[in-house]
Amino acid sequence: MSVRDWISAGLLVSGALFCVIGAWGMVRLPDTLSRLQAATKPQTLGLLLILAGTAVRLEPHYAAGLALAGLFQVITAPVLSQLMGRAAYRTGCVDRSTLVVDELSQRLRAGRQ
Amino acid sequence: MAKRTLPGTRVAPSLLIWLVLVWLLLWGTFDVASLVYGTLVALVVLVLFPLPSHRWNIFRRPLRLVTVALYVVVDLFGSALRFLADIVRNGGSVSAAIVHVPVLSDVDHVIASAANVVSLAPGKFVLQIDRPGGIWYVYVTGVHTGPDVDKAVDDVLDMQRAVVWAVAGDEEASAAAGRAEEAKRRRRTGADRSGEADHGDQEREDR
Amino acid sequence: MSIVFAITFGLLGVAGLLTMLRIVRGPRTLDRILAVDVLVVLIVAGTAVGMAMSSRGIYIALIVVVALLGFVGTISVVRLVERREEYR
Repeated sequence: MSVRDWISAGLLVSGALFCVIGAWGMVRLPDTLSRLQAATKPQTLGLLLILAGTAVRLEPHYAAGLALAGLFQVITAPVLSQLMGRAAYRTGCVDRSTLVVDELSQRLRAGRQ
Repeated sequence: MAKRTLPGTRVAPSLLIWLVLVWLLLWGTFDVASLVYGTLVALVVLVLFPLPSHRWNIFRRPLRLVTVALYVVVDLFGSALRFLADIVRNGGSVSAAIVHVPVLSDVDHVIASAANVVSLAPGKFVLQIDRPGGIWYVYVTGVHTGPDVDKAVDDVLDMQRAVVWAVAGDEEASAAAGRAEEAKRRRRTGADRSGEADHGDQEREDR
Repeated sequence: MSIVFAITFGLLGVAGLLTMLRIVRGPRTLDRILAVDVLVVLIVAGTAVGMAMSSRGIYIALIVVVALLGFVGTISVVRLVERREEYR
């Protein structure tokens, strides 16, 4: 195995590991908001690592397309988590026992007065 | 009412270049044919879906942008590992908080990019933006006690400050830094909490 | 190198199975949507690994398009669910 292979192998395997960790967290965690954290974030990181690992093995001009896919993922992931988090909060998918402080509900209650 | 330019009357060259670049990257071939078709597609897209005429240039300071990008990447790995360690230590359960953080900028695109950067790292994301009030409600995991909450707020403020520093003007960046310090101090001295206690008193009086 | 690909595909497969478990279990619609979105990302990752294996970048357009379509689809379903459950 050449140096290039080693780099690619490290990136690919660590990326896949992050994907598994995200999926494991999604099964294990108690409520939608925390699952959202486990699902989108390690998943993004995992995909970026895998794309990097692939780019190392392909010819250089393909790397641009892979960078585009990674860029889209980085741009879309936070938007998705924000929309989904808001939907989860509004539809009551939050396990209150996991929250130490909830300043949003305090504010909402104060606003309703 | 402000005069609106008719759709298609003005096509921004910078946007056109971006779209053609995306098209070329998508196909992975850099020849004349894809350049021509890319330009055609980009023109059609820009004519059919005109964007607001006010635009901005986030590449005014490429060096600062790269610095912040590196900071974000390092933070991405760091908080991924921290998040993971926290789940494992608590046996698969999670301890979180929803905190309010003041917004440090008044410009829409700066707020949006800062919110995206904050939401990118594992363990925290912007749940709700109160635009008129200038407040973000941020969901943070891995907080167990009061000091943890304060630290999380500090982290979000620092991140925001870095983004403002990278994409906004100098005077705005220093104003943001001032606001961040102010917010941290108020949080430490408990000014915010006494504010909430006032709300509580009002609630009781109303009843 | 082939063992690396075997490990990577194995890990991605395990992640896919765990994700499907969440799709089956639910309990809320949002959980299922989230899991489907994760599955799309896993498929994109798998396609990328496949490209690395064959050393040919034939599916790059596919990767970009699937990732974007997954995003658009998830966004629209989330909005739908939010509206439906709010006014219930």
